[in-house]
Amino acid sequence: MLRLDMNLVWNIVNLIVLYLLLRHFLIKPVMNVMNKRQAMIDQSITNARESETAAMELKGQYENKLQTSREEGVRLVDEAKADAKAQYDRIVKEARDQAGRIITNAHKTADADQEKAMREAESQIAGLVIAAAAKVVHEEAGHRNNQALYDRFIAEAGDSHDAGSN
Amino acid sequence: MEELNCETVFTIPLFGGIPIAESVVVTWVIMAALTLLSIFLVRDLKVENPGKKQQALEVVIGGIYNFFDDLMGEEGRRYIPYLISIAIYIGVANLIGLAGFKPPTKDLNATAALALMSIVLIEYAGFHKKGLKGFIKSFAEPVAIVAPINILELFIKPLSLCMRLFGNVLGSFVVMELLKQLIAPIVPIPFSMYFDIFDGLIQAYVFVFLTALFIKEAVE
Repeated sequence: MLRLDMNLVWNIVNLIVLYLLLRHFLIKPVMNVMNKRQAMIDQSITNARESETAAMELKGQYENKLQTSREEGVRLVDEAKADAKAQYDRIVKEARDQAGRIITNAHKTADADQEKAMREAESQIAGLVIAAAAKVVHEEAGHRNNQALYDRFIAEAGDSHDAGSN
Repeated sequence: MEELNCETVFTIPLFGGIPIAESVVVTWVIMAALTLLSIFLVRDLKVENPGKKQQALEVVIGGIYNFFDDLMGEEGRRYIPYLISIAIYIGVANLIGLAGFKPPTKDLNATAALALMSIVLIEYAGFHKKGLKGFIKSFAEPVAIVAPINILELFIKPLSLCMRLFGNVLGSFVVMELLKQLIAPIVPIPFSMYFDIFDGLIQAYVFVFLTALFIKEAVE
């Protein structure tokens, strides 16, 4: 029952052979397949993670672009508004200047006309007065005092005219 | 008493006759059966969409592999295939009594061979990890004074492994034979469940578990 002999050696040989057989036929193939599957799963996960990262990057880029174009749009509108305002101001100012010039010219023309008319009226009145005075002097006092009368009359007529126009 | 002995099946007529014991022959049968079964099981393994057979195989092999992997970690990974083989072998050897063979583990030669292989593997693992100097130094750890005990362990470990397995299988075999002679049919069945199946598998588990534990100790 309790014997140790050469069979110990045969059993050891058996164990080694069994180990080699099982390793070759059972454990290696099964572990190979499992490792391959694990590698495949790891690969898939890595790929998925990479794709996700790339997608996030693209999304960031698009958002950036969108933001930039929005700012660009706002800037363009502002610029256009500023341009339009400047143009408007310029046109209004020109128009105002021109109007002012025209009005000034009109005033000048009117003043000149008035002066001219007055001068004409003055000379006419003077002529009339001279004629009237001559007639009166001829009839009543003769030619002696003609000059003095004439001057006095002119001065009085000019004063009364000035008082009237004021 | 005849059932207790492991007979010499035949003798090779070389060098004055080499006796071949029953345990060796039964081990050959187990080896042949396991190898054929393996070849059948690993046929057309697929990486994607494995069949039910492959899934079951992967659960069993992967489960045992992970068990040892958790136990021994990175350093002991290279010894896992051997431990898986031994686990399968002892399990089958302990159960083969159900098929009418004499369990090889009932022969002291078989369990001694297993224990010898284990201690060689354990010491080799330590040697491989630490080198010659570290291996010799490891006998003086944790303190130099325990060195004799450490050296004694070289013999105690395989002896306990060998005798535990042998004693359990022999004991359960004896108990079962006695029960079969005392109370004939039906009644021994639950006892057979325990002594033949449960105890056999537990002993296989204990043997490889302890071997793995010792290897882990050696590579630490």
